[in-house]
Amino acid sequence: MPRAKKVQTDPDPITTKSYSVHLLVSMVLLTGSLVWAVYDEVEVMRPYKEYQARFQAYYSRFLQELRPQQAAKEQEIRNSAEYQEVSAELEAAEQAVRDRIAELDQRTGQGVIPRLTAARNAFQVLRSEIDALRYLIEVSDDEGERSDLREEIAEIRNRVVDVDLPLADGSGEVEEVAMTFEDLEREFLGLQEERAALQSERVDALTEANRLRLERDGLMSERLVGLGAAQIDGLLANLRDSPIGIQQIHLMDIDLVDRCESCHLGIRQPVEIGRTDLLYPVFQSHPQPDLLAIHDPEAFGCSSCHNGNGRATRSVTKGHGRHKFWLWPMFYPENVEAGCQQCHSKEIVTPGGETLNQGRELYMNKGCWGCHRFEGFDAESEQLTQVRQDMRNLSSARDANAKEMRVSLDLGDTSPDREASQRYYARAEELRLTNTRIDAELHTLRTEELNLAREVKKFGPSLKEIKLKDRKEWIPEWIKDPHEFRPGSKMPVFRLLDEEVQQISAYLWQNALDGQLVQHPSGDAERGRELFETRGCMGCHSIGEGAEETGGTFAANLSRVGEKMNFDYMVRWIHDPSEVTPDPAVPDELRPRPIMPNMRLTVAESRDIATYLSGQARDRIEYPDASFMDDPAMAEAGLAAVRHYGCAGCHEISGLEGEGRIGTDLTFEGSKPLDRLDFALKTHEAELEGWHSHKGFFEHKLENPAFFDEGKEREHLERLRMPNFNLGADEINALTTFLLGAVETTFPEQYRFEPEDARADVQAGWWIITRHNCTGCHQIRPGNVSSFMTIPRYTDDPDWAEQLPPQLYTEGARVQPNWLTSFLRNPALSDVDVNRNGVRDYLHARMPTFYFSDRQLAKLTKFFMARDSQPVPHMVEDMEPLTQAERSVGRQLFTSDAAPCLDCHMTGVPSQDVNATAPNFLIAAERLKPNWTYRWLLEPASIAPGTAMPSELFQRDGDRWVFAGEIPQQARQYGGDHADLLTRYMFQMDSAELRRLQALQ
Amino acid sequence: MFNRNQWILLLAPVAVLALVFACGGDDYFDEYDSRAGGQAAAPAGGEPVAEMVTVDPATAATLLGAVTFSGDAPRFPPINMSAEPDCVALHGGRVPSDRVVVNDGMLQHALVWVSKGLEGKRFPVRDDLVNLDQDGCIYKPHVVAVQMGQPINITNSDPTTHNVHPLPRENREWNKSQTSGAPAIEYAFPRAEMKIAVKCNIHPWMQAYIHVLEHPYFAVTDAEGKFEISNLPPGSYTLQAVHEQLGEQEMEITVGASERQQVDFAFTG
Repeated sequence: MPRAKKVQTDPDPITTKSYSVHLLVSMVLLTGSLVWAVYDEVEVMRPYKEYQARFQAYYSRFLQELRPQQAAKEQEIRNSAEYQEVSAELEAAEQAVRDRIAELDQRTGQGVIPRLTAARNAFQVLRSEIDALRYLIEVSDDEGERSDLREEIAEIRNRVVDVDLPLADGSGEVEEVAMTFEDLEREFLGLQEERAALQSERVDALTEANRLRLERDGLMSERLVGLGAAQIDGLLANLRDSPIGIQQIHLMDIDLVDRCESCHLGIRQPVEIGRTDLLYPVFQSHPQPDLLAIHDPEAFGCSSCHNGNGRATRSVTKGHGRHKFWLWPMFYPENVEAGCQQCHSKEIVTPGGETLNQGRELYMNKGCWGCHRFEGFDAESEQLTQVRQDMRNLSSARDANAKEMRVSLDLGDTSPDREASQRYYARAEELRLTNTRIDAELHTLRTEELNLAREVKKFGPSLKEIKLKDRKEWIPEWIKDPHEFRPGSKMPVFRLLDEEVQQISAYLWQNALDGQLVQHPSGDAERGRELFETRGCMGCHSIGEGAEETGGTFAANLSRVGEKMNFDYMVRWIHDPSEVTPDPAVPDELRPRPIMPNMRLTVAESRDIATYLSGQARDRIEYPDASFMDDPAMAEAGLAAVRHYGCAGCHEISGLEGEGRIGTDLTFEGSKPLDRLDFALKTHEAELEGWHSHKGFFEHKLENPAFFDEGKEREHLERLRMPNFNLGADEINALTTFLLGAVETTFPEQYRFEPEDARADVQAGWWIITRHNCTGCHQIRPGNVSSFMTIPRYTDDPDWAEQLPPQLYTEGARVQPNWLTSFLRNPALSDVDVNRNGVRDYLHARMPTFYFSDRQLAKLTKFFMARDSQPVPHMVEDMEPLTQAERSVGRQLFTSDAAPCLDCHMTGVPSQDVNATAPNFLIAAERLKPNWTYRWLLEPASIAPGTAMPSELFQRDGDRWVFAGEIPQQARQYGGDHADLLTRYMFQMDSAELRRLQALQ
Repeated sequence: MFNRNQWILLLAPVAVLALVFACGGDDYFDEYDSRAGGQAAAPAGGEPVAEMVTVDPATAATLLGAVTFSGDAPRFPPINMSAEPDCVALHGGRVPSDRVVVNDGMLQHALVWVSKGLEGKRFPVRDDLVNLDQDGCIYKPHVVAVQMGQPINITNSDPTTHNVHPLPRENREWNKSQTSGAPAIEYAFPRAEMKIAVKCNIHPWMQAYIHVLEHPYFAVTDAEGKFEISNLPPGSYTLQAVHEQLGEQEMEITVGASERQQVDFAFTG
């Protein structure tokens, strides 16, 4: 039996089994992974490399194309006569001192400096030896050793050394001088002084040349728009040298890392790069470099304003955070100003943030805050609550003090111990004085309370007077659909059942106050129309339907007001909006004053306007019977509905004075987690369509507040309550922007704009201005378009264009603060003669009397002063009194043909003032500031563009201004500045002087 | 050498890797190119520059005609200069209003211009001297028309100070004082704009209108209501007559080479 056969051996895996395939696969996998890892690391994770390479290429090309244009511009400037002249002067100046400079340089470079160097070297050798010995003295403990060392120093000081000193004449010759340490020191210091003298001589010699060089370079930089060729070359060189890599801003304190500029490379380039100048918009420069100048990206980063994921560099989507795993996606361009709100949350006007400003203004003037609290809006009512709380606390402290005082006095009276009794008396005295202080504080708070009570206003009109004010049958129609009656009304459309409309109407009707109105005869409608169109009503109100509508949108459109409002009530309201039917529930001094100001009209004028407005009605519209409004059962049911829909959020309603808001607080709505915004059944749709975001929620909700109810199975009262405001697309966008920015900021204080200096006054002022629509009549910021400026009469007729209310761009620099306060309190500037403008009586439009509290008057005054950097309190400038001669010259100038002052300015003579277009000089001294007046005389168009006051009344004569045109005899001898003289003359004018002028004229 | 499964085993990772490579990176540039339709590759230039037209005098046409007015003209009270004795002294008596001037049925101060048909064309700026004088405390003439860039020479022939205050909407506004005998103010409006009112604030009755047009084809009617527009390239145009108080009238016209065409406008009260 063959043995081999018997031994059944397993096949040897070493020889028979091959793992080569597995190994190969593994090897391929491993190599592949390695390649992939390297590729991923180098390419995929770093897409910005391509951006940077492309940017370098495109930007170099762009700059190279730009360079010749800029060089040509520079050349053009160099060729200009003025530049040539300065260059020639410069050259001449340099030529004139060339030899002197060469001589000075020669004396310094070849004479003084070699000798100085040699002397210093020798001197330093000795001095270091001495210094070393001194150190040894200082560290030595042994008096004997110290005196040895001192001797050694003395020896060095007396040692005479030979020093090779080059001669100071620059000949290169060297002299060998034997010198002691002292000699050397003297030589060294002397040479140093000589060098300094030569240098200062050189500077002096070049003064004129340097001044001219500055002037020449100044000419270039002043005239050249954009960069110079040399600057472009610098940029190109930088570009060539710039390494490819991540560009990152890291702000430690807020742990912000922004790598945006790894791709957005053009953002901070000094050249303006348009959207497609470098082919791709990613490379454009920041569209608002002035914003970057005040928000340096090195200090603020990018994503702090724009949102998005500043760390991500992997892709556009990730960097911009526009995916569902990033909570705060980058704002879309139309909402970009949302980024301002988080740090500028104390403001209602942020210059430059016009969409955001529009959003805030809408929030204010559409009355959103009636239902939704938002910090800063309606702040007065919260402050009022706080003041009242403070008053209660103080009063109880006062009572407690009084009680303790009585106890202390008793104890003092009865205590057997003299010292103890004195202590009790002292304590009682202290408490009494404390209470005196508390009394003063209580008084201040009480004033504050009265101020605030005047300021707190609900958004809509009071409904306590509807019985006197409105036609009964109109009320349910209005409540049902206000926009049917008055499109665009601020009263929104609620989703009410017919029975709810009836119940609410009945409740409001039966709870309204009863009262008496004075009966008025009708007036002249035509005169009323003229008054309505020109007195100022249209600064806030509009009239005309559809395309015919003109006037302001701040207050109601009055096209159909005649259908609803009682004539006698209207007369009273127009004549004095603060006059109301006494309300037992509210003491008169705490009664809120209306927003509508007092136009200081006569009763007859008020009647005329009311007559005109009463005619504003569609042809007899019959309103259905509304006798249900008298049914007490209806009213009872109405209370629940009025509460449910939050009517008292915007209106004063009897019995509901203390009613709170029904909506959610929106102060931090933008940072509410997305899952807490109720997309309801729309969630899936929103995700699919890409609007499952704060932006999408706000936009859909504002466009149709009932949207997220769609498809829900709900009882009527469970449905969303928010009414429809029928907002336009731009309004929705502005409000969305505002709400997106309404976030609880995570930035520390130094990032937020919460100034405590004069800038806070500016912030505070804008709130009052926005709430009272000052910009309906006045232009306060450049670019403001007032309602007046849109009324055809004022745009089409050049004579009416002059009737526009004054611009207030630099009001703070113009007027004195105390005067401004009194003017704002009473624009008639008179307690008896009120049917007029105090300053510009020639204007048809009238500055109305607003029901400002003292607090608001102070804030407004401070606002104007702060905006123009005017110190408060104002210190009146000293004015040099006019000499007799100066007065006479002033009089001559004033009446000369070259200065037609009295042709336009009011003089107080009614026959002349009919044609006046400027204020009376008599109020100048108490109203104006002299330095402003001086500037106004010289260049009025820079202060009030479009003013009737002409420019170029004066011309330059040496260092003074003189009248352009024929100068009267006496004035020709006057050597002073004519504009200054006129300013002083004006400020020292009195009525006698004015009469005298008129006689002269 | 390898069976099927082994091939799959071998190729799968390669395929996966290839896929990763293909999808890796940021494709902003490709995406932008495809969205912008290759626009990025060839950036669009600025606005097309209007072509500068040289008119051939051999074929140029002339429009001439008159503007008539019939019916009751709007009545304006005579000018009351009593506020400025200097001005009153310059006139013998009553100064009629210059708002609407009709002489024997012919309307003065109407602008006639080519309102359509010359779009996209540029013409050299006219070089005739246009004067606006303040004479007798009224503007003479009451209406002036210039091409944009063409200077207006504003003078004061009165013994009193005026201020010249144009109230444009498109152009820059300015307001300069001009004393008696002061040098002329020369100003060229850089932008086309119709009906720029000019006021003197010192003498509020003074009013003039300046029309600034893009091209040189316009004329203002004279005291006889006549106008002439010459050197017009042949073609079809809309001709418009404008009077700031009476409104506008339009007419379609076609002129042939070297044609002298008569065009009349008739306003009625």
